[in-house]
Amino acid sequence: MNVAGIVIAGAAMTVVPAQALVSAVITSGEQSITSARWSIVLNGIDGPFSSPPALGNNESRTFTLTNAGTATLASMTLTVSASGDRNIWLCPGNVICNEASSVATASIGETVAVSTTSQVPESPNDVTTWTLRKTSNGGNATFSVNVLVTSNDIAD
Amino acid sequence: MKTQTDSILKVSIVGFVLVGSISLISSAVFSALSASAFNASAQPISSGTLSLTYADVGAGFGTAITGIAPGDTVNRFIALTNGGTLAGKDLTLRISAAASNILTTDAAKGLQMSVTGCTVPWTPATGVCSGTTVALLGSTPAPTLIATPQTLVSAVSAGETLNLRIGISLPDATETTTNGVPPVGTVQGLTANITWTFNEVQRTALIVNS
Repeated sequence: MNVAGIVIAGAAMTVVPAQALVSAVITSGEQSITSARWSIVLNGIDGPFSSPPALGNNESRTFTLTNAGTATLASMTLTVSASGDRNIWLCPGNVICNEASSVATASIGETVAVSTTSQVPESPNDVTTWTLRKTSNGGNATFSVNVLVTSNDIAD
Repeated sequence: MKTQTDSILKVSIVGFVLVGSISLISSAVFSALSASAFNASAQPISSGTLSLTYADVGAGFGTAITGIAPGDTVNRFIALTNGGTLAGKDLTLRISAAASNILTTDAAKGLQMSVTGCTVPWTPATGVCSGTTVALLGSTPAPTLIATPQTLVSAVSAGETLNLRIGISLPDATETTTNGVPPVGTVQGLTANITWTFNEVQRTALIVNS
């Protein structure tokens, strides 16, 4: 006697395996994952950074770095190139930039890079200030500044 | 004339005898003995159930992830329970994305997911498993998880809860945003809306002799 998958033969009973598998599914709601955006904006405060940016006699140039992205920054590398006939100091902050306060000196025709974790505009909209100055009076120096920021962290 | 009448009479008698004989034979069949047996109490036979549910542990899937950066790993924790009466097998994970962008279409630059189990519930605030961890799924690109469900566990007991850490990573990348303009093909400032789906099937069908 065969009835709906159950076979009864004498006193023994055998359960016949079902042919169709039962499955279970659980689905989450939509989870939004957004990547950060990195943007550093450099603004010259007391003079242009457009080409050819140059420092004349007794001139220094203060500039700000603004974290215009959404990422939190951990460190950055400032790269300064000097040309003309004078070397250039790079100093953190809006200071009288000299050898003592500088973190890097770019010689004529040289490009120097300095990595730092200070004066970094860490959070979005943070602003920090830096200053460039010729190493001596007279003459002329042109410069360029490049900023590379990094951020790596692990969040739980 | 008499002879013809006798013949008709003989035929009629033979007919009656034949019909009577057939009736007797039929009566003999209907009068066979029979017997039956049955269980006095009905035997209950109930089917099993298969059920999957999950609960966020900490932020889980219910809280958005913002500002993920290359090199970041964001861990989220859930408890996945096989709450039915049947054991399950071939537990898989797949994801779907409501909108496509590099985060979910680029196997190298986009999101990657991993799954790690713990024998006891995870502590989401610290990411610590105080029991034993087991890697269930290595770092897998989002496009792979969208295209093909990935097997996490081959067998799940009835009533078993799996304590899972879901690692969501954005691979290391180097991009330079120049004067506020990100490069073409950037991973920056993108959003993926991910739906996580776990699936299992019933344990292998059994032949039970008892």
